[in-house]
Amino acid sequence: MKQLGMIALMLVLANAAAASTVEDCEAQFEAGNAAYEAGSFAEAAEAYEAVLAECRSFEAEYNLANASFKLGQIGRSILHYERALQLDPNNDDARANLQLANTKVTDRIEPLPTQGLRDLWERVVAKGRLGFWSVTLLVLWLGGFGALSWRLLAREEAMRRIATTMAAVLLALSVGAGFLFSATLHRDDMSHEAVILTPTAEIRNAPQTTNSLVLFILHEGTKGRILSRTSDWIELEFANGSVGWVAAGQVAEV
Amino acid sequence: MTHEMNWMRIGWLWIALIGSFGTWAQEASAELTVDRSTVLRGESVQLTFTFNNCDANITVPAIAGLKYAYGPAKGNNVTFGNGRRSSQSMYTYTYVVTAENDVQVPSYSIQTNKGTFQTDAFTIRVKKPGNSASNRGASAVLDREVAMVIDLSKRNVVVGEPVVATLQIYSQMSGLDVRDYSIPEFTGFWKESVDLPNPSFEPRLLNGRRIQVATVGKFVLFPQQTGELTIDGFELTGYVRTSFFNGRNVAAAADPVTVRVSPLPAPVPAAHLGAFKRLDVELKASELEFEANQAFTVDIAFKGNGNLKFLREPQWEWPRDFEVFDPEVKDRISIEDVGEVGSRTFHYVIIPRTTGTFNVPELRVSWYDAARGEHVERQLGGESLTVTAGNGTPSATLSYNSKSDIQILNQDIRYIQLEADRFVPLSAGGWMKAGLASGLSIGPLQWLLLWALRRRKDAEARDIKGTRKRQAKSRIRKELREAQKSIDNPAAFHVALGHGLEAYLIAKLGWSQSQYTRTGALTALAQAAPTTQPEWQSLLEALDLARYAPGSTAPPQTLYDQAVNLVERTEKEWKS
Repeated sequence: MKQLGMIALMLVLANAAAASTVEDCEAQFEAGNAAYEAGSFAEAAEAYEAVLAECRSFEAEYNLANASFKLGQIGRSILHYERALQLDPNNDDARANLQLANTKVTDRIEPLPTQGLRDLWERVVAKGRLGFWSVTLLVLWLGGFGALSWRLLAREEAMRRIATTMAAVLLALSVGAGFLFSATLHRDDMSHEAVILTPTAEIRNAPQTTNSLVLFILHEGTKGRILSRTSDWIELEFANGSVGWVAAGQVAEV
Repeated sequence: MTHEMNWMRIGWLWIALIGSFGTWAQEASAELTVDRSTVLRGESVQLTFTFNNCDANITVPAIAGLKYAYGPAKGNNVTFGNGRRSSQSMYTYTYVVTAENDVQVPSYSIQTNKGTFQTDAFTIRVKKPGNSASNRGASAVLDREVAMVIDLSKRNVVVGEPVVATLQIYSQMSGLDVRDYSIPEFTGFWKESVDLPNPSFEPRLLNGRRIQVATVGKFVLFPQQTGELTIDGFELTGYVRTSFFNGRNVAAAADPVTVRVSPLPAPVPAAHLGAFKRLDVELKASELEFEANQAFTVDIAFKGNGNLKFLREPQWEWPRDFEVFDPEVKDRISIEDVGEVGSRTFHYVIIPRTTGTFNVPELRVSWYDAARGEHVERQLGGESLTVTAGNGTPSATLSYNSKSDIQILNQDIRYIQLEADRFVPLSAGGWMKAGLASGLSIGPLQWLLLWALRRRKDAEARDIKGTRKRQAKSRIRKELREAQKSIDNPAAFHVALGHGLEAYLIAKLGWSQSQYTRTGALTALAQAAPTTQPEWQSLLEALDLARYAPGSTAPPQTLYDQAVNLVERTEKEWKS
C-alpha cells in the first residue's frame, strides 16, 4: 500500500510540474504573439525560443519561423518551418510559407525524380505522428487482447472463431503500428535533415579543412539529408544527389 | 512606184551618216584633281590631269611642299554613245608630302590640241602628326625591318564609345614568310570583329619609301570600364629568305597603345542607353484605331552607329487593359570599319481588352552622342488609340474581360498562429513512454488473468469433491476469523460461530443454503465422519442454547477451540 501511495504521489507531483511548464509556455507564447503584432520581431523570436526550450509546439515553431523570416534570417525561418511540418505535416500555412521562404534561397537545386516515396515516408514518420502512432498502437494492441479475452469467455464455438479472427487481425495491425511508432520514435531521437544557416557554406569532399577539396559552395537556407556525422562535420546529401561534408557549426538539424 | 521609194530611203540614210560625222568634235576640257584632300606629312598623294576630247604634252609640275616620286601613269578612254564619240586621257603623278603646313596647288594654264585650258587651284590639307597612329606606325616602320602596328581610330573616348582598331604588319623585306601572329586580348573592351578579305601584302609608299603592308585584323572595340586601357600582345614570328639557300627567323611585337576612357559626363539622364557614335529612335504603331481583342503592333526602332547589340528592351508600362506580349527583337546590324551599323527593332504585339480612348504610354530614352559630345534625350509615345467594340455583339467583346486573373501586388508569408492547440513539455517524454508501456501491458495481463480464472474453473469442474473440500476449508477459516474478532462479545460470537459451522457443513456437503437442515446434516455426518457426529450435534446445540442463555455454556474461547479441533478431525476423517 505504501509503495502504491508513493507512486501515486510521484504521479501527482509530476503532473503538477508538467502543468506549471505548460502555463509558462502559454505565457511566453502570448508574449511572443504580442511582440510580433507590435512589429518587434526580434523580441517575438526570443519569446518563441523560450517556449521551445521547454515545450514542443507546432505553433511556436511556425511563429518563430515567421519572426525569423521577418528578420531576414531565411535559413532559420526554413529550419523552423521544417520543424513545424515535422509536428504537423499537413499544415497548409507552414507549407505555403516554406515555399515562399525557399524562393529566397540563393541555390537552385533541381531535385532528382525519385523523391516521391521518400517524401511519403518522411511524412508518415514525421515527428508529429508520434502521438498518432502511439494511440493507434495502444488501441490495436488492447483490442487484440480484448478479442483474445472474449475468446476465453465465449461459450459458443462460432463466437470463439470470430474472436480468434479479430484478435489475429488486430494484433497483426498493432505490429505494423508498432513498427511505424518505432520508426517515428527513432526519427524523433535523431534528426535526418539539416539546413545551412550561414550566408555561405563550403561543401568539402572530406570532413577536414586540410587535405580536402571544396566541391561546391552553398548558401543560407539550403537543406540536405544527413548521411553521417562526426563531432565537427556532417555529411549531407542534397536534392540533386550531390554529397559532401559541411562544418557542423554552419548548419542546424531539423 | 516601188523603185522611187527605195531611192528615197537610201537618201535619208546618207543624210543621217553625214550628220553623224558632223558631230565627232565634242566639247573639250582639262582639269587637275587630287586623290586625297587631307594627308599626313610623309604620305603620298596622286595628282591627275584629265583631258576630255583633247590632248596635250605636259611636264612634271613642280609644287611647293610636294616632292615628285614617280609617274606619270597614263590612261585613255574612248566611248561612243548616241552617235557621239568622246575621249578622255589621264596623266597621274605621285608625290610625297614634305610640307608641314597645307600645300597650295596653283592653277595651271595648259595648251592642248583643242585650245588652252585653265585648271582650278586647290589646297591639300596637311594634318599634324599628333595623335595619328598611322603616322606613328609609319615612323616606327622606317626604323625596323618588320613592324607590328596597332592603329586606333581614337585615343580619348567615353565608356561605351566605339573605337576601331586596325592590326597591320609593315615589312621592308619582300620575302617575309609570316609563320604566326597573335591577336591582342583587348582587356576591358567588348570587341566585334570586322570581316576582312584574306590578308596579303600590298605595296605602299611611306616617306618616299616603298613598303609592304598587310592588314590582318580590324576590330570595333567598346570600352566597358573607365581609366587607361592598354592594348598589347600583337606579336609575329616569321622567316626571311636572304639568299636562295639561306634565311633567318624574324620576330616583331607591336608597341602597346593606350586608350583613355572617361565616364559619361554628369548628370546622366534617366533611362540611359549608353554611348553611341550616332543614334536615332522611332516609334511606329501599325494602327491607331482598332477593335477590342484585335491585335496591333508597335515597333520601337533604334538606328545608328554604336554598340546596338547592347540595347536592352526599354521599360514601358502599358495600361492594364492592354495585354502586351514580350517583344520580338529584330536586328539588322553589320560590323563595318566605323563600328556596328544598322538597327535594332523591338516589335511588340499588343491586344486591347476593353473599349475606349487611350494614349500610347510615354517612353523616355537618352544616350550619349559621341559625335556631338553631349547627352541626347528623346520622348516617344502619346499617340491616341481608339478601341471600339467592333461589329460583333458587345457582350462577346466584354465577356472576355468579365473575369481577369488576380493581380498579385505583393507577396508575404501567412500570419502567425494566434492560438496554440497544446504544449507538450519536453520532460513529458519519459512519462509518456512509461504510460504507453503500462497501457500496452494491460492487455496481456488482463488476458493472463482471465486465462488463469478459466483454468481454475475448469479444474473445479473436473474435481467436485476436492473443490467442495477447498471451499469448505476456505469458508470455515473465514468464519472462524470473523468469530474470533467478536470473542469479547459472547452474543455476537455465538451467532458467528454457529453460522460458520453451518456454512462449513453446507460447503462440505455441496448443498445450497435452502437444502440445509440440521437433521439432514447430522445424518450425512453420521455416514461420512461418524466419530465426529455426536460432537457436532452437542456443539451446535450448545451454541443454540448460548444464544438464549449466555451464561449456561462454556466460555467463548473454549467453544472456539472445540470448534477448531472438531473441524480438523472432521477433515481428516472425511478425507479417509
